[in-house]
Amino acid sequence: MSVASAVAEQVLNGLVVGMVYVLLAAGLSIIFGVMDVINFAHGELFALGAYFAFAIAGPLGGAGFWVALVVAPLLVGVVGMGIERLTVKRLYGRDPLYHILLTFGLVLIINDLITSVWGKSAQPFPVPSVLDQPVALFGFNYSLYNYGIIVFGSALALGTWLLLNRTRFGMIIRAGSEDREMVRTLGINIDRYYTLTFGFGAALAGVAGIVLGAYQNVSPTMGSSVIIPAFVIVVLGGLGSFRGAVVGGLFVGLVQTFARTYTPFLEGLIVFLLMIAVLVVKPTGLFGTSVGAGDHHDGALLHGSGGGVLSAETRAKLGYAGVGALLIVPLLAEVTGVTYSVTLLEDILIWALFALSLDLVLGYAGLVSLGHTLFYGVGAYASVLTLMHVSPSVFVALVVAVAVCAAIAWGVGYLSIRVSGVFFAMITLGFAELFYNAVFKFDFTGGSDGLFGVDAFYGLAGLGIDPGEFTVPLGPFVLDGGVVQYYFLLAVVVGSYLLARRLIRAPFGSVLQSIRESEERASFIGYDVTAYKRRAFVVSGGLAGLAGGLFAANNGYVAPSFLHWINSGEVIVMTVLGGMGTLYGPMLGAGVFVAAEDVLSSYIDQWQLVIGVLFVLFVIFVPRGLVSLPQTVADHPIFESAVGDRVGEQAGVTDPEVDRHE
Amino acid sequence: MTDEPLLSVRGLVSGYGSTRVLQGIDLDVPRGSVVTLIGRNGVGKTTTLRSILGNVPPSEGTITFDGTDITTLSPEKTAREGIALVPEERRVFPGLTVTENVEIGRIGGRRDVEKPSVDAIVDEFENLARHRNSRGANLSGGEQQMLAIARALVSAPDLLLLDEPTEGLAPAIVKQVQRKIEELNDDGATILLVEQNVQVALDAADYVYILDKGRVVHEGPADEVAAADEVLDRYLGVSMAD
Repeated sequence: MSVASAVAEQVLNGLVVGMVYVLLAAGLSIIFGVMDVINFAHGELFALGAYFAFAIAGPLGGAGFWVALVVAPLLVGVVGMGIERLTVKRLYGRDPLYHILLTFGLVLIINDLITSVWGKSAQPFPVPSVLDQPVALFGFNYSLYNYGIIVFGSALALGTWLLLNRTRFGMIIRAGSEDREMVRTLGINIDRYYTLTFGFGAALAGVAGIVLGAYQNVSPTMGSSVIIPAFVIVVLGGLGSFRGAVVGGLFVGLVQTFARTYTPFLEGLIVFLLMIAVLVVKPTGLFGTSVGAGDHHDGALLHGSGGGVLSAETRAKLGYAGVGALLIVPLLAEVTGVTYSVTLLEDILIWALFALSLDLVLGYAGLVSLGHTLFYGVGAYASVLTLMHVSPSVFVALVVAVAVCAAIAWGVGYLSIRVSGVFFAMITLGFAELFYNAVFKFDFTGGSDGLFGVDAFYGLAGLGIDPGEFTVPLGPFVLDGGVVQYYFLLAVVVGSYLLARRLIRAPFGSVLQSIRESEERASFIGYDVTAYKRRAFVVSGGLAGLAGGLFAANNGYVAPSFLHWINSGEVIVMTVLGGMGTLYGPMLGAGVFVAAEDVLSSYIDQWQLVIGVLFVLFVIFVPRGLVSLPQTVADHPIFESAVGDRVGEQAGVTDPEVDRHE
Repeated sequence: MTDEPLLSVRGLVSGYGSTRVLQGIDLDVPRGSVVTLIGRNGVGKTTTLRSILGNVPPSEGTITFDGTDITTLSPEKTAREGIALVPEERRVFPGLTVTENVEIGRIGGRRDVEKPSVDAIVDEFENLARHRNSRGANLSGGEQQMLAIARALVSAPDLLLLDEPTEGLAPAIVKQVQRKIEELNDDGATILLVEQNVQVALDAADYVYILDKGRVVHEGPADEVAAADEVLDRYLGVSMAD
């Protein structure tokens, strides 16, 4: 094969992948542009399209593929409309963060449904035999199916463009994305169009899923593997821009394909590097404008704010009691033989620290860091590498972890905090993915295996405890090194909480909160809003690094999965579940989440489904988190007379209703 | 035609959250007339319009339109009854062309009336007819104002609400807007106008309500109000004498 035809084949391969991206990103972008909804579940709708088609085509035989190509996207569209009606719709007017949270819950639900119906392993989804043959064009052979994808994808993209720009439906959608209240005032029921738009976007994702499913195979992970690139494309092209989605999709498809062939090292990295580069030069993306959707984010973040019927005093007592209980657990575990509880608690403490770090930026500065696991993972790698190459001391390792993460947070913050809201979320996600993909590439990070078998010494310069050799006889029982690790961990987590609380109660914390309430007013008073946010981000990054470093040091290993975006999602879930903007709420959320995950996963297979459903219900009905439950209960008419007086003292819950009408 | 006013507002109390902006407004808009609301900033003029439309649900009082109680209707339903708004700051759709802006107005409004064609409406406005394919964002302030009026008119409304249509426009353009309001009224349109520019408000109006702190503090035929120097001075800080 000549060089020219080799390049031509790469171009075609790139266009095939690009077309799939275009369809996926177009739906994502339209849904964002019109409704301000960042739909994390889009990847699962994509997978659902592939599986529906797989289920329809199988029994029908030869013509099955064609029937599936029409029916499956319609089904996915119906699912999309159902999702919009039942869940997404309830959150309009709230901060877009809640849609991220909601759709993250939906990811868990849909994904678990897919695996419980169709199993966990990938399955072949054959291309119809008519298309499953090479054709000779321009002097070389290339699969007819792939040509088909390019032609079909182009036609669908063109059709979508015509729908948006040449039809009444499209006109109303575009007008709604610019000024929905005005559209209502004209007498048009925009809600109905929202439902249709969501369904349409979902159907496009479904088509993309079918096309890719037959190109490769169908697997339950196909959704989570495309969603991040799809977001990158939407951000790269400009949020809400259809042209951006098309150009970005094809571009990313081509770049990825060429990188895989000619610069394998950059595969997986180049897309994120490109996104970061574009956003640094042009924060709104290639074709994004500041006009439209981004301008009317008038919903407020809902904060936990206080503990409902529990007074500050009661909360402090509960806190002491909690720490006290944690102190005696290892002894009890030894006595009762339930040593597993210590492992679980260590897990909880680590996640509690991680959630605490996120709350500093999410709950107090209003910054939605979607890639917070970047710091957790980097902290873990820094800690293990230090233990391996520099010093066996856990103290040194943790100091290095915190320092490295704080430095990276400063750098990421420098590039991303000047662009607000959704862009910040996407850039942090981009950086996290960049590091995730990068650790696979290097020998010193251990590639896909990670780094194993590291022992930490709990001391400095030879003075201290080596958990491997530590034993204390205690009557008939023996306390081992695990106890040292546990108490060290507990001390660090409690210390970090007290530090964070000190910081938030200092003037620094007040300024942060004023920024969260109104950036404009804070800057009018004379505060450098960007600088404050960046400092909070640095502290937060450092604490997240500490959490990752602790986990790695305690368990003696680190792996790429520490940097996987699912962690970022889970820590956000914990933070909101507990009640953001309270510091202790997210820690509580971490405890409940990790414990629930642990218990559920040992009893039922569909535990993700259960967690997903619970989470969706929480986002919709208890957006202020677990810490607000006492208040919510107290506000209920049944209890109002009994505890009403106490509740009156606890004013200060942010009322979104008031903010919204300003 | 009956003698009943087309729009009748009684005891309207409304506001945002726990803040009451309107403290009990009574007003009537007879068919074929131009009624204006004037008053200083923040006295509740725009809130009155928003409450009539349903953007701000009233907490007390009734709003009757053409014999139908529309007090609790949503904005889309109010528009379907035949009330069209030319909003403050015009709010044309910046990414839509002039034609599209008018087209989308034509989709709204009453379903049971014959509406003028988009072209016919655009042709009525000289400066719009020249820019049919320009995007809303690229029009001048005066052109945007005309477009906002065209977008409302194309739905063939029975009642037109105009919220500060001359705000931020050059004097020559203000004249054009004034002429347009007169023309519309000559053609029999019923208009409720909110206006900061007292001169424009009094010239255009048949009947005037002066609002202060969420209440109607003075009302009367336009020529009488124009002559009531002491009232204008007290509530608006202006005098028509000079």
